[in-house]
Amino acid sequence: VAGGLGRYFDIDPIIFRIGFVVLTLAGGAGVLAYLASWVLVPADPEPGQPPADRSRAATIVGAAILVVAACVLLGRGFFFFAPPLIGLGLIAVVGVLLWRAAGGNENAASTAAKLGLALLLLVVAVAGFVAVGLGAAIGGGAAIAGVVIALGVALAVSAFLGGRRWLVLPALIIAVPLGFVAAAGIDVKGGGVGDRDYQPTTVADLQRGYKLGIGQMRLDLTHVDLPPGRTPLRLDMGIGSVRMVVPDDVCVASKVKVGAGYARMLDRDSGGLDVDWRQSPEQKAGVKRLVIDGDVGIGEIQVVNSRSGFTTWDNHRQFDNQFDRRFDTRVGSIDLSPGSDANAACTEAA
Amino acid sequence: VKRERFDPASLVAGLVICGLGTLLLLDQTGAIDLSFGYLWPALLGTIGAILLAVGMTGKRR
Repeated sequence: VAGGLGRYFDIDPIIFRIGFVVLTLAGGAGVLAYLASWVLVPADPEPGQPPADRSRAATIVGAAILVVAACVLLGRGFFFFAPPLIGLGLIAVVGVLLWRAAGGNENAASTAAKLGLALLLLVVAVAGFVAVGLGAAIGGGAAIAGVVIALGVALAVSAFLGGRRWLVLPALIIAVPLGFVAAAGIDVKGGGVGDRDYQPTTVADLQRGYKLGIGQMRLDLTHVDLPPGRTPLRLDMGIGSVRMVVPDDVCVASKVKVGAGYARMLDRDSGGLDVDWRQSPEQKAGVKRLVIDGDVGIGEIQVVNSRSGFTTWDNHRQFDNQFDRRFDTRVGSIDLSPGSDANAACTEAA
Repeated sequence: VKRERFDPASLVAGLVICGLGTLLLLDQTGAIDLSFGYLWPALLGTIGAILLAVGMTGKRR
């Protein structure tokens, strides 16, 4: 059936086979379509062969990637397969384009030349990924996206002039890292790089927000006597770690966004990609309420008090002083059961 | 005068890359908030469409 359809439409019959399987898995329509085609479509005298000079491998890989893309978009799974599949897909694109550029020859000289070119492309691609990622993170994302569109337009126009398929490579080398920076929400401009420790002792010392581009930020608010009512606090991190200790008598409300990494707000935590929540607990009148607006591109943001503890990835730190110790003494002591009282200040009498 | 041959794979690749670039531009200008939940399908769709177009069309001559 697929062979007959492929011959009739002059395309690789594997496309129809994949289509039948997808339609069958998506609700069973593939079975009916196959049976109808079996009755109506004449048999192919040379079943299963792709048209001459077409690439079956590229067709199969491309169709499979599109199926996975549809599954991810429709929430049917494969989410965790997407990143490695993107890497494999990029390698396949480079391989197919190089193969085509070399005319599909298989002699030793052309194979060596292709390998050398592939290695050179790999080096250029890695350098390009890093440069584009940094450029986007420091605020050049819109201009870079404009370059991607310009390359796409040039490629489409070139189709009428014989095609310039190699333009696909710079377009993807630019688009993929920009996409990662955009999805993670990495913003390092104006924040600086390094380690920052803050230990305000009065409300006057407490800033409305703290920002760091790349690095580690630690805030100890245990000596600050917050006033009753709402105190907003903005925490921004491009790539790195934000850890904060708050007094036990403070009710914490939070709006948290982490592109890739981990977030903990007293008795709540979440990790992975696209961590995004808003938590606004009920509270009694007169309670001290710290409203945290946390935004981390890649890394972690953790807020604890003495009733909860940091989730830590390093249990062998050396503590130089009391400040350092405060940030690591409650290793793994978090209680995530429904009865956890880490944020009990919200409902305790003021 | 030599007439250049039409290359459908370049047209498909150019259009899907334009679409991806537009998505990224919308995010960068704040019109949308792109997350990994939408980035993965967008990248996979772009790469898959390019491979499919290249595989289904003949070699350029």
